[in-house]
Amino acid sequence: MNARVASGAVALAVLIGLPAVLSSYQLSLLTKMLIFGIFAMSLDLLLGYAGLPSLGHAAYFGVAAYTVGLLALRVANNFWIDFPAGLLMAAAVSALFGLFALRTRGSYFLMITLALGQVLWGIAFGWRSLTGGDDGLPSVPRPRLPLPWALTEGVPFYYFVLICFALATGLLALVVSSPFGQALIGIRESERRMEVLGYDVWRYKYVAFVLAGLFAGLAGNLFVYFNGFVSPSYLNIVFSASALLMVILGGAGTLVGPAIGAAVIVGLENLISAYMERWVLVLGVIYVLVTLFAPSGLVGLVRQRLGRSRA
Amino acid sequence: MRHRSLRWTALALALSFVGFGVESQEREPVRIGIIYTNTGPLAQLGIDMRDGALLFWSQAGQRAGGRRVEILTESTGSNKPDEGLTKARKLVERDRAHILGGIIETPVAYALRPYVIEKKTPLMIMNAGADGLTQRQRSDYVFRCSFSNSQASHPLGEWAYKQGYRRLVLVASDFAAGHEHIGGVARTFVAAGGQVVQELYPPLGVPDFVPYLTQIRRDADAVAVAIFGSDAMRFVAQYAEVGLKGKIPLIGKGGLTDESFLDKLGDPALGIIVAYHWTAALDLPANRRVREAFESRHRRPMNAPAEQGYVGSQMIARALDAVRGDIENLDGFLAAMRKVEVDAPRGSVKLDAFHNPIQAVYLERTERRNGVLQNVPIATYPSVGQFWTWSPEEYMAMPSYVDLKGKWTR
Repeated sequence: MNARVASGAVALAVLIGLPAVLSSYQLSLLTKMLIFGIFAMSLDLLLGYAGLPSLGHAAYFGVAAYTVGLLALRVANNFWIDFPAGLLMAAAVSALFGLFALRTRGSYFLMITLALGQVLWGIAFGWRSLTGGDDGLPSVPRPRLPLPWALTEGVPFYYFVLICFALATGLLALVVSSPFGQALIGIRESERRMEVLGYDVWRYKYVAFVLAGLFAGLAGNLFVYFNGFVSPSYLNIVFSASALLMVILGGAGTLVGPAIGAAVIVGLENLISAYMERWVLVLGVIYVLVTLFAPSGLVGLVRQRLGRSRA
Repeated sequence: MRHRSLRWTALALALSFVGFGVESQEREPVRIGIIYTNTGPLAQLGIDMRDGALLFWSQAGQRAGGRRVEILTESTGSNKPDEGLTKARKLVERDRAHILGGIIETPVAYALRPYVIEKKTPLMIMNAGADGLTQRQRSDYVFRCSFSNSQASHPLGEWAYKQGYRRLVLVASDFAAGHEHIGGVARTFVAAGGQVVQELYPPLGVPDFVPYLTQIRRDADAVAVAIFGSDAMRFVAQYAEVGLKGKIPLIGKGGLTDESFLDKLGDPALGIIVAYHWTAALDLPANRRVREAFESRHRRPMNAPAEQGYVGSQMIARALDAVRGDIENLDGFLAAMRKVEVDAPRGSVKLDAFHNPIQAVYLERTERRNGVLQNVPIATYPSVGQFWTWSPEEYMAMPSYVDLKGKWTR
């Protein structure tokens, strides 16, 4: 445990120092990595710990994004209202969807989360007067906080995202190492057994589902401020699927793994595409290689290697 | 042996001096970043647009205004505004692009708009047609060389009425661009005295049009369509399959019979009439020259997006000429862009006060000539702007086409 805290502190120190050496473009990529890192970790709580493969995780990300975007544009650009409202809506929608989704298991769970997510996408696409339809909501302003630095600048915004990322990572780490988190792992391994032991399995899964939605909402909030617009693509199946890929690539059930997976995918997408047109193909090959040779993800691979060298 | 190596060293030294000399005279290149779509349903349009742009610059010897021009291309998936914005950041902040261009999809254009304004980077939209981009949301930094969605629709509606059509059925893909394309037709058709008897809006990418085609009222005089890309291929084929071809005339917006797949459509496409700003069959010297160059280079038919990529680059080059390559003089460059007028493959083009092109609209009928299907121009509306016969203020005071969807039959 101490080793983990130490490596976390080192990682944080590096992340704090990086803006000094990065260009503005690289910093914007790093900011995007952190946001997707939160998104991927929130999904890991479901997939990696509770064993619930959600294919509609973009729903909570998108709902939060639309909430913040709409409030900032139509009501008031007030951080203290918009930001909590985004989180609240994400949690509320996941609390609602959880009621339906958690009645099912396995591939049915996959299908119902997908379907519920697509319903939201359909609403965002079709309800033009509210959501701007397929054009989305452009020109969402960044919040003004009582700080000496304006968040419209790249570096202060990066630190703002970094604080959120560190908080989210810390909270999620607490959750998964708590008795609650351990119970989730138990449920993932054998639901029947946990039931027999007297755990209210449904309630555990439901709380995990809402928590995951809440943290996905946090990522959605940040992403609107980052990009300055909301579009129905935030609610799209493609978004949900890429989050799943980040989790699997980094290593499901490792918490930091998915954040690393997110960084790798965001990085590759933008690095390879500068050099070759068919970069999607390269990403595809990487996915195949990881699933073949590192089925427990990048973090799993590293841990396996470390374990072997110690032995 | 030693002598030889000495000689090589001397040569290398000499060459490096030559290189140094050239470099010191030559200013750093003007960098233009092109963002295009290369996966998903709109991939072909994106690749055509990019190739059109690259063709222009290779013909121009990668130079404009006495300065070298460097083209950087970046691709995105279909309709991913967030990816488009990331690519724009990369081009502007990392590659230090002076100008951005390209953009197939409207949502990407809307997403980029605040960014290019913030970064004071001129953007030349080479496809995305949303009316708002060059109307209510006009910006000093955003230009468009392609069209606004309803621009060629207005003449089509009027033309349809003049053909004696009185009862029109509208069919358009159910997204903002579809509503704008078809709304323009409806507005001028109704204003002339015609009546819209039915509106159908199949979703984008619908696998089967038959359920919609069977609903079409048989007492209509014509069916007006705004459907594009792979949807258009299916629509035209199924229109003939259900027996509507030859019974109710099919008219629409260009792109329904895009040159890239016209050949594959075959007989079902014969007799379709579309309104567009360009056709491969256009008998203008500039068009013949560019088309031959494109087709000999790529071994595939040139289409409108390729022409748009070409024209957008042409406009940038003319504006660079006007400021002698001095892109650092941003105000001068923007002023030159506003005044730009080019002899494009589609004919003469200039920009209006809102940075949308003023250009001819052609009515084109699909015919087989020398065994090849072509969109043959049958009528020309010269110098058509985005506001048609209205003034900009009058036009923008009217409700938008997106809000009028579903209300034309009333």
